[in-house]
Amino acid sequence: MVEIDLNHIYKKYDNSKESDYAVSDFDLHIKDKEFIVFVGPSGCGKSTILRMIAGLEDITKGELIIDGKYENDTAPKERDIAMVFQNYALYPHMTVYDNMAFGLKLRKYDKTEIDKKIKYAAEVLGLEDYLQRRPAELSGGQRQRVALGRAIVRDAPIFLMDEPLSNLDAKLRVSMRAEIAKLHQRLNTTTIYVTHDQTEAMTMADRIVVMSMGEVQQIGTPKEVYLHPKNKFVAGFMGSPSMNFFDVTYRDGMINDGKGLSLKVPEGRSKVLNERGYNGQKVTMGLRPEDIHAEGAMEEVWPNSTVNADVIVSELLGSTSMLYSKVGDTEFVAIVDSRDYHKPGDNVNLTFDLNKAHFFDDSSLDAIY
Amino acid sequence: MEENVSKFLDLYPSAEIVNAPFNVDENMNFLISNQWVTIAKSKLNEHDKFLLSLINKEESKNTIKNLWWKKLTEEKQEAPQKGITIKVFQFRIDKAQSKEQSQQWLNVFKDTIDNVIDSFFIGPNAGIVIQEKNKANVDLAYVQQMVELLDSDFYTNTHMYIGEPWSADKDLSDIFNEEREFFYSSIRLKNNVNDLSTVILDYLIDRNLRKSKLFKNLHRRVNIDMATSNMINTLYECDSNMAKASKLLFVHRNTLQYRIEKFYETTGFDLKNHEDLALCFLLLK
Repeated sequence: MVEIDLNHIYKKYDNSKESDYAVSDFDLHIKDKEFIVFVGPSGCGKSTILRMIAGLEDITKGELIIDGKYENDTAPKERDIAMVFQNYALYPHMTVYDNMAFGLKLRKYDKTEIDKKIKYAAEVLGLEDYLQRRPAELSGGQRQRVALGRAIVRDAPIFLMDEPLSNLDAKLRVSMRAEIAKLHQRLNTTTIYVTHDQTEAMTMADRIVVMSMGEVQQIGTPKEVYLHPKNKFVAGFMGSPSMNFFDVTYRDGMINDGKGLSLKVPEGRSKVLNERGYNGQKVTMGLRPEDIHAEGAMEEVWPNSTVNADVIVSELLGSTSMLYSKVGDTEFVAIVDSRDYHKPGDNVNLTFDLNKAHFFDDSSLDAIY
Repeated sequence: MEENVSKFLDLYPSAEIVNAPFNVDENMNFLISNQWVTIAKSKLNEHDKFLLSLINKEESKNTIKNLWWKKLTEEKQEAPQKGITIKVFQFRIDKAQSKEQSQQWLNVFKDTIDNVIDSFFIGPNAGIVIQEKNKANVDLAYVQQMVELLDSDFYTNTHMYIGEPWSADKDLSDIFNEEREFFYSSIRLKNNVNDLSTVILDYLIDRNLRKSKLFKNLHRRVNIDMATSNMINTLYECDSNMAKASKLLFVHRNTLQYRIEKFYETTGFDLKNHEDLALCFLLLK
């Protein structure tokens, strides 16, 4: 059983300004066997936290507790942690077997034990037939699996993965994503996975930590962060294509952006906005592309939330189509059923399901509940 | 403690024994009988600094017997192999558990690089790899990967500088002397493995601009907060491509545009202009 507590962690680099922290007040409890994903744009501090857990970076302030033990000053070697890096580098002159065995040989494991661990990792990763090959004879995916194998043989209860799929092509990334998820189920290790790819976070995580500018924006299950984003950053970062944002003024149950978009807000939502004192105020309205509909039936239900839009670009994706559309000067994207496909230049009625809309305070950018 | 080191410490009580050259901007570092010793330049007068710099060169020449090292440090020394072009890799392995472990690290590293003709230690954790330059260039990213791989297996933290290809002729020692300085400069950089291209800007700024009042004041003007520094660095890395930069920064293109305008209002530097962007990038180094 391995639980990790990161208590109010701060990281400041020597050459940075007094007030500039690469990580600020990072506070998180990671449960045993949990698969937790740190996600955020480049420079948000996610890899820095991972490296602090591994002992590769010093912690400026705060406590790292692993299984109740204070670990801030423990040498990397003494921490029972295996790490997989972004580059899935292997020793070019060694076979797959030797690549996996190398770290264990340095730790003076005996031959039989090394062999047992490698056979197990090879079986888990489907590498049994490749053990005598050299890296140059492997595909990118196979090499990444060997890199994972090097971590598996360490038999550590904690796995840290720093963007392990970002160097792979798109197709391979999807298949490796599933393999890593399966691997986690089989090995049952506490896993911390860092990525800038929100799709990886959504599909793999038990819980997601969304980060920006060194600070935690939200911690929650994929469903929580997708359906109930705490602020505009999380709303925009999670989901592909991104949520549409409209700068609007809310007044007496209606929103208007002054550029051609005017919609009625459902009663329940307008009640909240009124109670919070937003009547007559500027707010940001967010709506996911899948909550904008082209079906006639929706128009009948919400006639006051329907706009007549021009299709600028349309992309047929198979079962769905993306319509990049425009009302007046307001642009947005809708994901509609392929049966409702429209070509560029078409004029189409689109219904905004404002029951699914998110409203954000214009200055704090926090969600208005 | 070795007698010479002990004598040195008696003469300069503020000197300290270290594993490798330390804070080369503010300290002088000496390899005395295979042991690195450091002393703050501020504790020395000009006379001492000059004498010590001469002693330092002589000492390292005398204690390291390797013929390539002699060629790298002495103008008149013959190269062990004549008429060849070489690249010099300088490295420093931190957190190694023992001398044997450092040696083992080096043995494996050598095997990952083609055409290595010699390798040796010049201090407890610092050393040199000599590669005969062949047609294939050594890729910086590849060396970075190998160093990261080795460090993950040995739990070490290694800094490396990959030199340019040079003929092993009479100019080599002077050139190598400069590459030594590039290596020392590179140790405080973010990436552990560097070459001339990744070091030169920081090196020149350190040498020529860091103490300039004008530079310091401009630095203060553009070093507003981390978000602004991140924006400047990303714009520079993306060759001013707004679409690419906004994607990496995860902000809408219009937001980035707005921030650039705000920055212009505050500082007078227009980040859409290449020269201004390059200057701001340098000021933040």
